[in-house]
Amino acid sequence: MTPHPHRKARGGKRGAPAPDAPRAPGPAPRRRVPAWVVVAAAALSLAVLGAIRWLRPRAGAARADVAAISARFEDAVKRSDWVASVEWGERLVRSAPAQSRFLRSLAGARHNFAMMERGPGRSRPALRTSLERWDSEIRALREAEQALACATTPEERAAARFQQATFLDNAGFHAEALEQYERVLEDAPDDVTAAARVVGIRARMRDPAFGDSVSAAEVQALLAARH
Amino acid sequence: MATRGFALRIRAARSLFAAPPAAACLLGLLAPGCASREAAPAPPLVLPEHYARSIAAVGVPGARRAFQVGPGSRASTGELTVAWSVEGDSTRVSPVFFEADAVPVAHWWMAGACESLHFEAAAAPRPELGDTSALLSVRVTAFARGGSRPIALVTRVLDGPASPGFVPWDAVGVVHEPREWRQPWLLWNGRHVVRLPPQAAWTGERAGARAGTAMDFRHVLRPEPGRPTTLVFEIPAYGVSPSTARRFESLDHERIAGDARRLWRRWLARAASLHTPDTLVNAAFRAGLVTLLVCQERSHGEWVPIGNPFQYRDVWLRDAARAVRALCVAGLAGVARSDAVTLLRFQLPSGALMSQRGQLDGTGQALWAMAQAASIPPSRAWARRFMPAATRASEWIVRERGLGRRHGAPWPGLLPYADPRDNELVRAQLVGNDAWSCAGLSALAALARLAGDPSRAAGAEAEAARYRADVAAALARTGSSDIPASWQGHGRDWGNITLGYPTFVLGAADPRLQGLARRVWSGSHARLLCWGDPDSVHGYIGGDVAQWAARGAPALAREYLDSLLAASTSTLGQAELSSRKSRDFGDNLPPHATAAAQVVDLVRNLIVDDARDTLEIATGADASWWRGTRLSRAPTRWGVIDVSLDEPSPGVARVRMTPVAVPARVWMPDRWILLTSLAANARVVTGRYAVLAPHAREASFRVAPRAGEP
Repeated sequence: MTPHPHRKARGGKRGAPAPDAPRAPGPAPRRRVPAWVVVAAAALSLAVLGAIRWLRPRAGAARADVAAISARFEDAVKRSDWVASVEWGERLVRSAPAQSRFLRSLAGARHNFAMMERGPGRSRPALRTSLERWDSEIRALREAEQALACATTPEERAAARFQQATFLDNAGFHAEALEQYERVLEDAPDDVTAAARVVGIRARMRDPAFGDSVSAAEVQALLAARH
Repeated sequence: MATRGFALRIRAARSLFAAPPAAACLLGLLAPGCASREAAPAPPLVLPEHYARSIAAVGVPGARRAFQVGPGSRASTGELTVAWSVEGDSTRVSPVFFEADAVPVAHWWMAGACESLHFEAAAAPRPELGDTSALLSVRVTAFARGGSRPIALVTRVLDGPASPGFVPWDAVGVVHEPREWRQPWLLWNGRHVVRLPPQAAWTGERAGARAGTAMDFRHVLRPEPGRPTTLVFEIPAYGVSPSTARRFESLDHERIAGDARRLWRRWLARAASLHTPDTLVNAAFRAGLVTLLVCQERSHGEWVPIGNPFQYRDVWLRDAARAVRALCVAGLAGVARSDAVTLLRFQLPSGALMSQRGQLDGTGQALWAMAQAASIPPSRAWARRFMPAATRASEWIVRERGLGRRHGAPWPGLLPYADPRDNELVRAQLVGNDAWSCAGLSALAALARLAGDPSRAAGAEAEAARYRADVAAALARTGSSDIPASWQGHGRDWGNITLGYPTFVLGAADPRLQGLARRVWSGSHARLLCWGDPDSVHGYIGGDVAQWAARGAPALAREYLDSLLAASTSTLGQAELSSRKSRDFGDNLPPHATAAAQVVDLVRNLIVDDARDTLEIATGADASWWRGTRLSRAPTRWGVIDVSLDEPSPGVARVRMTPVAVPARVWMPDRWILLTSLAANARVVTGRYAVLAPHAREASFRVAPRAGEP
């Protein structure tokens, strides 16, 4: 499991030797390894491999595991605990790396972790600098891309594109988001939310002062035109 | 700009505080451990404090916290504050001063009727603390005034920041356990946070008071006339373990202060060295470098440029790009290049770079920073290293321009609308986004040329030229005589100010730049621009207008520099925003890294400017600077050079420089007229400038004051 980046940054940095700290002494002279140690190590390796094989869960057990992880993930999302969400999301993706739905879940959790999670004292971002926040956001964007690449149905494709578009829209790349929202409508012609965003961004592209809401009639008109 | 009356100010400050700073420094000089010249103290540089409160940042490059000294007699990590007062006497506290060679060892005085206390605070890295923390040592020297009455010094330790101040991101925030005093250390949450002098007497309710209670310690000092007494306090930036604390007990103040001086002198010795007859300008240049270095953290093995040592311990492309440029021109290319590498972490899968949502200028700024880092001085290896990221970033710009066209944006060929939630403070198509994107494409061309890829350079330059033509057409369409903040005409002046400098989207003679300067200066205070409210003086946005002015009306650029320095801290830092009326900066504490970068860049450009294809010398130098100016180890696009200006005899101006492969244009001050060249390798072009042939080392010119000038 990837450690919480915040903990990693704090724990890893403090106390690290300064660049001008005295260097450690050079390597010790090489010693000959006794033969019995080699034999014992080989036997131990074989035993570990055998144990792993024996302990490998069967398909049914794996499904049960995924369901449990999924439940924990959903629970963390409900609590808006994005640290736990990322951890459970990563487990989900490890359990099924090509599952578009899991990749989307992880991407969403990571995006929320980067932008919404609160850190020490709960009043500040969980990540100290914009470098760390954008690093997390970039990972979320890549996972969203992977989710799109792994999508096997029009619904999954639409959902993955919608997520990508939302990330881009939130970041302020409205024109790129518009392109993605338009493509969502290709796979999901009745997606009202995507249609509303297309209407809104198109209007703001022509006039940036256009408000943040759109009328139902405009959305209907767009959906009707696509049909 | 006249040579500043430091002596006068030092005398005034001494009479005010009646403290013998020279004696205090002498103590330092005689102290053990200060034998080496590199570690010896320099006298404090006593300058006026122009803000309502005096604050300085004492820190070291790489650390994740800096110590806030001031306002008043206090030092703070943000997590806790140590404040000093004298019991039973009202004392006046001086502003904070750094040392004369810009080393950020802080000095201040408290003076009362019967006593005078000199404080010296120095921060140095320690191997025990790693590379993200530092140790502050504060030495208090008490002098008797008019008698030998005992002085009761009260040291108050409070949790939280000074006021004004800030709480660091990684502050524990709450003292969870009772505080303890295990002489000589004060412990919070089990960590050793302040080491008090051994004679400390706890005067609070009891040791182990609950959180939120100030803890007072009392020291009785008995200085005799001519025999001052000292106390030393130690404050680590982060609380330390008992074993680390024990190791600090063998340290003395002179050792820490000596380490601090050695560290900073080594940093400054690597940088370009500036000497002009204007001592305040020299000091400001060095102070700017110190601010830029104290605003450096370490991450992933690289330097990280942050916005401010206190409340802006974060990275923004717009500020970081300026820091990269300033560090390059100041000769600290190693740090600048490392900073530029750090900025690549902002690159998205699309190729765009963004550090703050809605701020589309980041891609152009990052490209510009990469080109600065690779070009000053030129390095083919660095250009090649940046090329892949720069190419992807440029492709994003080209794509984004196309998207605007495709979706019917009313200003075709320009970037789509953005909502930066800051700066221009408007949702619109922002002129500054296009200016920086144009500069980004030109930066790719510069990188490609340097990397030895002429065809890609030509392609990028052609794309940049098309973009500039679109911007010019859009400007013509606005019907405005200057440059609006957004193409829709709304918003505060911000990115639009960069079209003259540093993006060079418009030529220096463009009447729109003159119109913009006229408009922004009309509402300004001594050429310092306001942001939004006319009372809000901004610490750096006026710098770009001054840089533009330096290339045609250098007196205006110097006037800006004068005004900025006359509105700075006593350690020559600048706040981002302050009230014109009250001179207060609120919680937006100085010094701001971008303001420091602007000072360094402007001063350097007034003497050496390499933005165009000839090297320009003395572009904005005042006549007084020709009495002996020297800029050494100054990197340019044509290599690292030394330049000196002087007047070997009356009416003769001489320039000496390291030869470069391009012609050099030597400018005369606006109060002079250039009569003839006394050198075969230089020809007079106008009464303002002459051109030196490539590889020239020296040239002299006969000059005379312009009619009506002394």
